[in-house]
Amino acid sequence: MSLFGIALRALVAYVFLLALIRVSGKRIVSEATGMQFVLAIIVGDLVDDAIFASIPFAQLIVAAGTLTLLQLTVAIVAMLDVRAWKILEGAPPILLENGIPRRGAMRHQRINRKEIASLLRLAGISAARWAEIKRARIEEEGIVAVMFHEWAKPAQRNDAEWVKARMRSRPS
Amino acid sequence: MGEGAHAVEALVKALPIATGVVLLALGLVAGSVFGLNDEALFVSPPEIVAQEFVRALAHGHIGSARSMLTRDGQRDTSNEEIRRTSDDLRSRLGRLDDVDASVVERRLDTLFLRTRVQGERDTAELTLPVIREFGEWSITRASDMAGLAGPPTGA
Repeated sequence: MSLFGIALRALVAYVFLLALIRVSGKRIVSEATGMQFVLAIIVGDLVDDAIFASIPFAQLIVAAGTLTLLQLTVAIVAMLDVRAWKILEGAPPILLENGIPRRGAMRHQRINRKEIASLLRLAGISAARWAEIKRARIEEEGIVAVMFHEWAKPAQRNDAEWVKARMRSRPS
Repeated sequence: MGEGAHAVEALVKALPIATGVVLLALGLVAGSVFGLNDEALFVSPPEIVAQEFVRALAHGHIGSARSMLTRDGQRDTSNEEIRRTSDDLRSRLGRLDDVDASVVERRLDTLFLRTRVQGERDTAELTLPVIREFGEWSITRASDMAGLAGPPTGA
């Protein structure tokens, strides 16, 4: 097989996929959902076959193009309708509520307490601070979104001003 | 307009653009294959087709092997025939080690490829004729499959 042929096919595949990714949004691997990750692997395999001419190039174009169009359509439907979004992408389950892990969600997500602790540590939250958490959800991308109780949120500039005002108004 | 509406609008706009990208790419490939008579860049070269055909047979992928035959070849060959050839080939050669194909002759629009199949027990060699059909190279005569399961040539 000619090296020039491989290089040319690789170049065309690169340009084609670059155009598709630019059009469909940048989420392919980083911050990818489970489905997007699977799609990236499928397309990667197709590209490999196309570069080494095991399949005609048109097959890569049709397969990658169809998958991209499907992904876009699913994204549109999920954005337009909350029920469709829940079915297609799944609402992020609550793993931790008021500092207590929810067993049902853990079982459903096949995740144990240690893994929750690990995900929260990656978010900078140690086990000692779990009581501060109002809700922690695991997002489709595999990251944990944490919502703290009001009293546990770090002090803001407004809070400092409120304290100053209270101090000033206090009779000396 | 909210952020969500903007996102939906952007996605809806992306649909026809993505379709356009796919159609443009298909057009370019079709132009190269049918207009510039590309025989090996955007279509699988005949050597690869012959190799993949033998690999499909050696691994018992009947549907895949069948899809590499010409339309006439597919009409004239039953799945049972392909399966028999595949079984014979596997029982004779054992596990497939290597397949190599090279063009030995060109007669009008038909290429003849000498295909050497090396298995763990034996080696077979046969000539596969291929023609271009709808731009792609395809194996013409299913009868040539019989050569794959013929008498041993010796390793």
